[in-house]
Amino acid sequence: MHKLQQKMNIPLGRSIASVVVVFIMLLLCFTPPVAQAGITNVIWQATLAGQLAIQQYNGKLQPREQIANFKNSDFLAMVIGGASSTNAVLGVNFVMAGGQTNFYLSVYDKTNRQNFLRITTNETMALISDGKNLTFTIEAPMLTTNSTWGGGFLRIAGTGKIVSGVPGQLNAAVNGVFIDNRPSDLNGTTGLVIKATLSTLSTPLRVQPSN
Amino acid sequence: MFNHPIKPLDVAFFVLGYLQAIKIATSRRQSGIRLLAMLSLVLFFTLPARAQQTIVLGPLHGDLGVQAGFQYTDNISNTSSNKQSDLSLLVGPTFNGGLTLPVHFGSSMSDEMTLGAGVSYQEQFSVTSNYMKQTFNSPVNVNLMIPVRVYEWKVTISDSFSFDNTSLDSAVLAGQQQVEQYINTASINAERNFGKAGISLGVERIDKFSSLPSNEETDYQLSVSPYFTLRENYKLFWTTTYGLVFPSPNDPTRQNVESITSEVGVSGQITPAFNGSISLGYGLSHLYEKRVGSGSGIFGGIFDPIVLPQQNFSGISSSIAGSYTHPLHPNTSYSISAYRSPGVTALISGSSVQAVTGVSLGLAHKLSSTLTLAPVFQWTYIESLGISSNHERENLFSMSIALSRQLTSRLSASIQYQYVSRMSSIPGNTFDVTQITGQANYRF
Repeated sequence: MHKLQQKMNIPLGRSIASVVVVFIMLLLCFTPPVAQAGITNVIWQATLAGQLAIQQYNGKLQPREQIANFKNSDFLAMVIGGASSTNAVLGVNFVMAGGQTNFYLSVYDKTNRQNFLRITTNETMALISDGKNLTFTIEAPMLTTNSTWGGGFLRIAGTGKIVSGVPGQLNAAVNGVFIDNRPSDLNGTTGLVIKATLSTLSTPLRVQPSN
Repeated sequence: MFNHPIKPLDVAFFVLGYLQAIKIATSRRQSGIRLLAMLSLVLFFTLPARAQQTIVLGPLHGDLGVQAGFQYTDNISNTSSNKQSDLSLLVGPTFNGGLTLPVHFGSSMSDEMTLGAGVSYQEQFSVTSNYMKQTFNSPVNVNLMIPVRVYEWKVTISDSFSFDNTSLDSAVLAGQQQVEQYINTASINAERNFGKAGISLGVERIDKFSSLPSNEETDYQLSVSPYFTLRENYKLFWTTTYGLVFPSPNDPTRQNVESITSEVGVSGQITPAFNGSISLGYGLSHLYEKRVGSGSGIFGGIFDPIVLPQQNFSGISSSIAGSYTHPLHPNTSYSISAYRSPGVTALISGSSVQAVTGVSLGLAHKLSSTLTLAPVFQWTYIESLGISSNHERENLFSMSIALSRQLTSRLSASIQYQYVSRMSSIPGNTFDVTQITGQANYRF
C-alpha cells in the first residue's frame, strides 16, 4: 500500500482520513434512522357521541328531565347550525410549539383540507407520557359559533398513543355543558353532557412537519 | 328461405351491420341507422337453420343463441306529460343452460343437484332518440338446488338469483323509464310425509337490490305448512308464514315490518281440468317505530326527532291461482290468478306497506302447430297504507297480446303488443304506455 501511495503521490495521512470518512458515510447509510422530521401540527378525524340531558317544563309547568342520544353528525349539526355535509368532520388538533402541546377541537372540511370552524378555545391540557402511551385531561370552553349554538364547556380525559412523536389514537370520556341559545333568555337552554366518548381515527386528516 | 347453408359472410355482415349502425348512431345519421338496422334484420331472418349441436359437456349443457328485434314505445319516460315516443333496435347473444350433477346426499337417489342459468346481453340503440344502451337483459337467472335426505325428511337447499330490467309494469309503477331489480333468494325447505298427512317447513331470505332505494329490502320468512292429501295430487293445507322486512336504510319513508299470515286452502288437481291452488286466510302486519331525522328544536332537534310511529294493519288474505284446459279443446289453455293481501312491501314508493288486490287472466291458444297467440289481462289495485304514507291509491291495468311462431327448429320469432294504464289518486301519476316489441331468436 505504501508503494501504491508513493506511485499515486497521495500522502498517507490524507489517505487514512479518506478511508475513515468513507467508512463513516457507509455506516450512516446502513444505520436505520433514529430521528425524523418533527411534526408541529396534526389533525386527527374524531367522533364525539353520547347522551345529553335537559330539563323542560310540561303544560302543567312541572319540570321534566329528558335524555337524548346524540351522534357525531348531531353534534356537528349543533355547532355548524344546520345539517352537516359529509365533507365536514370533527377534527382533533394538536399543535406542538415552544415545547408545549396544545389541543383544540374544530370542524374540518375534507374538500378544502382545512378547518373552517373552531369549536373550543382557551384549552387547559395536562398530558403525561412514557414516549409510547399517554394519558391526558383537557378542560375547554366552547365557542359560540352560530345564532343557536351558545357554546358550553367540555372536560375530556382519556388515553392514547404517541404516534411519530405526536399524540394520537385517543379514547376519552367526555362530559360538560352544551348551551343552545333558544329561547333567548340568559345563557339559553342548558344541556348536560352526561355520558359521551371521543375517539380518533388512525389516519390523520392533515400533518404539518417542521421545516 | 331458411334452408340454404349458412355463409360466414352472412354472419360477418350481420355483426358488422349492427356495429356500423351503432357507430353511425353516435354521429346522428338517422337515415343510415334505419338502413343498416333493416339490413341487419333481413340478414338475420335469412340465417339458415344449420344443425349444430347444443352444448353438452358432461354434466354441463346449454344453448347458445342470438336475438334481434325492435321495440316501439309511445311514452318512453313513463310520464303523464310531455310524452315522447321511441323506436329502438335490439340485438345480443343469449345463453340458457345448466349443470346437473349426479350427486346424492343422504338416502336420496331420485334427486340431483342442479344449477340452471339463463343470461342474455343486449345492445339497444334508439332510432328516434339517438341513445345507446348496453345491458345484461332479462331474463338473467341462476338457480342452484341441492336436495338432501335427513332421516325421513326431504330437505332442499336452494338459491336463486334473478335480474329484471324489462318489466314495463314495474317501470310504470315507479314512474321511471326503467327499473333494475336484482333479487337473491336463499331458502331451506324440509318436508316429511306421515302417510296421507305431511308437514312442510321453510326458511327463506330474500335480498332485493334495485336502482330505486324504495324497492330495496331484505326479507326473512319462516313458514309452517301441515297438509293432508285428500286424493292423489290434491291436498288440503294450512300455511302460516311469519315474516320480517328490513327496508334499505337509504329510504327514510319506510319502516321495518313484522307480519304473520295464516291461510287454509286446497292445491293440486282440483278438477280434472283445473290445476292450481285456492286459499283464504288472515294477515297481520306491524310497522316498527323509526326515527328518520332530527327535528327543529333545541340542540339540533335531538329532543324532538321526526319519528314514523308504530302501526298495525290487518285484513283478509286470499289467493287463487291455477290453469284450466278443456279436455276437448287442448289447444287453448287458460291461466287465472286472483289475490288479496293486506300487507305487501316495495310495490310503490312512499309507504312501508301496501294493500294489494289483483286479477290476472292469461290465455295461450295454438293457432297452428307453430303459431301461438297469448293474450294476458291484468288488473291491480294498490293502496298505500300508514300515517306517514301519501295514501296513494292506484289502479293498474295491463293488457298484452303476444304472437309467437316457431319458424324452424332453431329459429323463432315473436311480436308483442302491451298497453299499461296507471290511474292514480295523485294526478301527476296518471298516464298510459303502449309498447310493441318484435323479437327473433336463433338457437345455434
